[in-house]
Formats: sequence, C-alpha cells, structure tokens
Amino acid sequence: MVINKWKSRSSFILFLLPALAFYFFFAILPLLQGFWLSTTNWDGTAPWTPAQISIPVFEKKVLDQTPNPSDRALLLKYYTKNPAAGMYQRHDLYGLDRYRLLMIFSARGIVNPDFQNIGLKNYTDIFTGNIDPKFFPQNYHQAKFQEGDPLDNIRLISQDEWQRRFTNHIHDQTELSFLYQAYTLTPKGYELNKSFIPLSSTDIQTALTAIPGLGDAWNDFYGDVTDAGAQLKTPGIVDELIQKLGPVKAHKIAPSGLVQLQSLGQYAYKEAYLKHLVAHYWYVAKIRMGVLVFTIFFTVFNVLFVNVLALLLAFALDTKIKSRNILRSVFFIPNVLSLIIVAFIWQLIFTQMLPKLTGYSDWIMNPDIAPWLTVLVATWQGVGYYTIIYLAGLQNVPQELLEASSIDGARVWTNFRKVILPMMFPAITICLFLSTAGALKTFDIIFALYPSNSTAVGVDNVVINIFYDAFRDKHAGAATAKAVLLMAVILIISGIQITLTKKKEVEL
Amino acid sequence: MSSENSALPRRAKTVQLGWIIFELVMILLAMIFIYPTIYILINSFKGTQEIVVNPIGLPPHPSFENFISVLQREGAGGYTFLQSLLNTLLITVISVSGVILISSMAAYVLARTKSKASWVIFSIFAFFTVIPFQLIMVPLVVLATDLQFQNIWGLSLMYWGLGAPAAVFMYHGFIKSIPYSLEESASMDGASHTRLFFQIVLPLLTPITATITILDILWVWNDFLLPYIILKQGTLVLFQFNFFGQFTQDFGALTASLVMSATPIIILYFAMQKFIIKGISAGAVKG
Repeated sequence: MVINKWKSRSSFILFLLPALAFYFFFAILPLLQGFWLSTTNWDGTAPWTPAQISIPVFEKKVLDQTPNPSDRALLLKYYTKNPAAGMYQRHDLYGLDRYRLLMIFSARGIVNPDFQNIGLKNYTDIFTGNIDPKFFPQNYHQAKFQEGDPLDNIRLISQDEWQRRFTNHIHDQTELSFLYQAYTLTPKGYELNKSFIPLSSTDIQTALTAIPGLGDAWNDFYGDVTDAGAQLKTPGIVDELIQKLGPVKAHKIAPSGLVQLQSLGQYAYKEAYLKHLVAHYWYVAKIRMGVLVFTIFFTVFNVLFVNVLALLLAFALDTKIKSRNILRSVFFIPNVLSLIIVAFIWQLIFTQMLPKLTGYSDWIMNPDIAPWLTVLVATWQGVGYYTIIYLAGLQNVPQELLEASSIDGARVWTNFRKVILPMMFPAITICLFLSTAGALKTFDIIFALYPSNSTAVGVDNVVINIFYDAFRDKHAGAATAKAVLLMAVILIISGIQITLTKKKEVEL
Repeated sequence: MSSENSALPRRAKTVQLGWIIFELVMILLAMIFIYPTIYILINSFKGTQEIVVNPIGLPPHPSFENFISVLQREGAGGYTFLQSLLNTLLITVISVSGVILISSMAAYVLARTKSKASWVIFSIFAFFTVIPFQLIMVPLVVLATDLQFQNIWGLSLMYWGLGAPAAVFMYHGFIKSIPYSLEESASMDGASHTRLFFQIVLPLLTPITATITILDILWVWNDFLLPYIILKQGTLVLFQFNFFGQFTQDFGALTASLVMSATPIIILYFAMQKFIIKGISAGAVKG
C-alpha cells in the first residue's frame, strides 16, 4: 500500500512535470519578470550590467569587495582589463550569468542608471497622466488646405467658413483686407477673383523664362518672390527684388520686359501670400480620441456589432432552411484565416475597390473613417465564431418553442423575452466576456492595416500602444506597467463574468 | 396543423414561400459577406495593371503568372514562400504534438487526483486566461535571448508552455466525464500508470484530442506576434506581413500571395470543420 501510494505520487509528479515546467518557464516566469520590469526604467535594450567600467572602480569597489571566489571568477570571466582605455570591458552576456552579474553589482551598490528600480513610478505616472499625451483625447486642427496644394482647391470658400475662420479669427487688418481683395462674395460663397491671380504658377514660370534678357535669373527671382509671399512680407518686396536684379540685368532687360517682370512678380507674390494665409487659417477643429478613448470605442462597438450580428445569424441559421450548414461554414471562414491575411484583404478592398466603386478615395487614412473601418474588419472576422457559440446555446431551447414563435408573430417577442433569452443566458454571458477580452487585446488587425501610421490616423489601441512603447519608443518598463493594468482590467471583467454565471446558475 | 381547416393549405404555401425568400436573402447576405475573399481570389489572376484599371470585373486574360512570381521571390531574410511554408509546418507539428502530449498527461493526473495540490495546480493553469500577451512579451524576448531560442525549435518549445493551459483545461473537462471503471480494472491487472495512460486512457481521449489538435493548429499556424518578436521572419504569416511591406504596389503578386497563404488553412478548415465547430461550442458553453 505504501509502495502503491509512493508510486502514484511519483507518477502524479512525472505526468504533471512537463506541462507544468513549460508553462512555468514560458508563462509564469515571464509574468513575474513582467511585474519586476514594470518597476524599472529599462528601455528594452540597455545592458543590465555596465558594458565597461573604469579599472579602479572595478578592482576596488567590485572585485575586492566580493567575498565569494566563484563570483570573482565570474566577474573576471566576463570583464577583461584594457589598460589602454583605462577600463574593464565586458563580453557578450547571456542567460543565468546575466542575472548573477546583476546581483553581484547591485550588492556592491553599483546601479546602472538605465536599468534601475524606480518603484511604482511607472504606475503613478500613468495615474497622474504623466505619459505620452497621445494617450488622452486631444483637440487638433486638420488643415483644409496645404501650402503645396494647387490654387484650384481654394477657388471657393463657403460663407459660413469664411465667417468662422477668417472674419472672426484674423486680427491683422492687412491680412484680412488682402483676403477681401482676393475674394468676392457670390451666392455660392466667397469666390477667388479671376483677375486677382489670372495666371497659374506654371504659366507665370513659363512667362518668366520668356522675358528676353532675364535668362537663368528667373528661377532665383521666382523663388525669392514666393518665399517673400509665404513670409507675409509687404508687396513692396517685389520691387525691391527687381532692384536687386537691376545692376546686373537692367541693361539687358527691355523696359517692356521690366513691366512684365513686375506684374508676374506680383502674381507670384500674391499666390504665395494667399496660399500661406489660407493654409494657416482654414482648418477644421477636431478631436483625436487618443489611445484610451479609442480602445473603449473599439471595444464597445466591436462587442456590440459582433454579438448582435452573431445572435441574429444564429437565429436565422437555427431554422429549417436547407443551406444552413453551408451558410454557417461561409460565415465562419474569416475566423480561420490569419488576422494578418484578413487585414490585408481589407486593405486592398479599402485602397482599390471602394475608391473605384464610390469615386471617393480617402478611406483608410481618413481619421474620421479609420476607427470604424477597424471595427468593421474585426467584426467581419469575429462574427462567425460567436455565431457558433450562440447556435450551441440555441440547442438548449426546445425546438417547438422556436417554431411556434416563428409562425405566430404575436408571440415572438414574449417567447423571446420569457423563454429563449433566459435559456440563452449562458451563451450570451460567455460571448460577451470572450468578445470583450478579445476586443481589448486586438493587435494583429490594426498592426497590419496600419504598419507604421496607426498613431497618425488615431487608431492606436492599448495593446498597440504597449507594443510601440516596448519595442519602438524604448520604454519597456513603462509599457509593461501598462500591461499590468490591462491585466487588472481583464481580471475585473472575468470576475464580473464568473459572478454573473454563478448567480444565474443558482436562479435556474 | 391538420387539414380540417380549408384555409390552412394556402397559409402553408405562403409560409413556405416565406421560407424560400428568407433562404434566398440569407444566401445573398452570405455572398456579400464573403465577397472580399472572392474579390482577392479573382484579382489574383489579373496583372497589376489590370487590377489598377479594373479592380472589380473578371480577369480579361486569366493567368497564373502572379503565383509563379510569388514562388520565385525572396521575402525578408531571404525566405521564399515555400521555405516559410515548410518552417510553419515544422513549427506547427512540433508545437501541437508537444502540447497534446504534455497536456493530456497533466490533465489526466489532475482530473484523477482529488487533492488540494491538484486543485491549486489546476487553478494556476486556469489563471493563464487573464494574462495579456503584452505583459509577458518583453520578458519572453529577454528569455529567448538568454536561452538562444531565436529559432523555430525554440519558438516551438515556447508554444508548448503557452498552449498547455488551454489544452489542460479542455482535457480536464473531458476526462472527468469518462468513467473510472476501465482504468480500475486495468490497474487491478497490474498495469503501470504509464501503460495505463498510453494504452487505455489516451485512445479514449481521441475526440477531444482531435478538437484540441485542430484548434491549436489554427492558433500556431496563424499566430503573428510571438513569431514576430522572436524570429522577425521565416514563418508563413511573417512572410505575408513582410511581403506587403516590400512590394507595396505590386498588386498582382500581393493578391496571389494572400490566396497562397490562405489556401492551406482553408483546405484544413473544410476537411476538419466538424471538429472546429464542436470544439468551439463545447469549449465555450461548458467551460
């Protein structure tokens, strides 16, 4: 009996050990290390122990003070004296030795400023808002016109916008009167006078090259005039610039040419001046959601759409239609594809098909639309999965009830509320929980749709932000602290789910 | 629904017509739903220029040129499509077989031992569900560097650890539902625990093993972030990801590459659909 007990205990350990060891090594240990790293200021790449250290410090403060001979041997194994540089230099360091050296150094009080314990500072920074402002909602101005855009884009400005952006906003009287010279109020809005700048910039440049005697100097002249316009200098600058040309070129340029040069210069100057003014003042005031609000936005809408659509689909497929198995397969297909493939499929849809179909090309990079597109792609990918869970949940509902309710319309709602919904409750709870946790952790789709510009478009969620913090912006410690808080959120959500399920089970 | 009432047959007919219309509407919806993938499939037979000019219509001169060109190209790190496919196959086989083996063993002793220790260990496994990957991501990179694990073998071993909890969970639930009597009679015959498990219990677990295998294949095959931070290149998904960064404007090759990397998993899906659906419904509603 004793032998038997020993035998069963040893086989208990033997059977359990492999799974437990791998799980411990690649999940629990990293988790504990994550907690530890979240209290450091590590950037993710800085060496933990100094790459080099001056000879006296190393010998007096480290080597002599280290009592353990094996520790001393370890130090000398990795650090080689380089008298020419006055330093001990370290070799490549991996594995357990890295942790041992770190402990030896910290026991001697030598702390690497790039890898030190900063307590809960990462957390207090997050809670006091002392982090990247992109984390929070922000007002920003989206320019409706860039200085490099063609003049045609500002031929018409609506009266309302004129009022809001120019009349109410511009306090400089010369700037305002310049705009009133350039534009005339028509029923359509403020229209740019044809006579104000009658030539296009290419026309101006061709005309300049054609002025006899000016030669190559036209290029510098044109550049200087447009620069002056963009710097909002007074109109007199054009004459000054012509004067500047004067001593060299005057004898070569005929008087008629000079007149032409003057008017062309004025046009070029006015165009640059106007473009600068409009680009500066004509914008739309917008709010960028920021990481925090976008995460909530994405999670709420993704969970909502996925669950409502999956529930509807499940009801539709749980009927006697003949093609229900094929349809179920079709709706599930996106779920077996890699999220990277899913994202790229939609990227091609957004950049090629939709522009061709609608004639409107600004989809994926439009900060107003992009958040919805990410929700669309995630919903498309996820809906099949939840449909299957709801279908399984519907198996608990007696079939006659469903059929009766579908025949007699009056009873549909009552049946749904009183019978079907309570029966479906476990499925609804699990789907809500799974989809919320999944939406919070959505990474691949956004990362593949926006490989480098998710921040600019405003579709960074928390996990994307953590990823960039850890590997691009070199704040590994702070990133891990955010991940710890994310875990707290997930813990709370699963706690709610478990209590809900338990409570409902008791009631049933 | 008897024939006593003469109005019923007509009503039955309208009901039937309603069902037909409903079915047609559902089929139409499914076609709209799946259209993006069809769109990619159709365009993979067009040249880049044809895609730009006419992305929506059928290919005027269908050809396999795009597919051949994808096969010939070297992606990031010099990995071709076929090499990436082979690597992914290798990683998936090593990872999933390992997960199956270690998890079924662990779940077996956990389910058959009613001690406090077994409950605690099971809870530790269950705890994995709340750990976001972003929390262990940086430490995993550190660990992979320390262990020199930045290769497909190391990655596969990492999957053993990361896949074990869910598999243990599913095996645990299944083992509890099979009767103890078979094992009892075998152990009376003097079979050792190891023999008992591999000869009697493991064959009984086949249905759940099939389900876990297929779900884990889908997971490992499609996983992006772990291979990305550990390997950067060399798996099929990474090939796909890097391919889009490399040949941004070559739409013919891009669509073809999508079709090629999706095909193996789609075939697997249609072959194993039953197990996938069973696994999801069982895992979710019971777990």
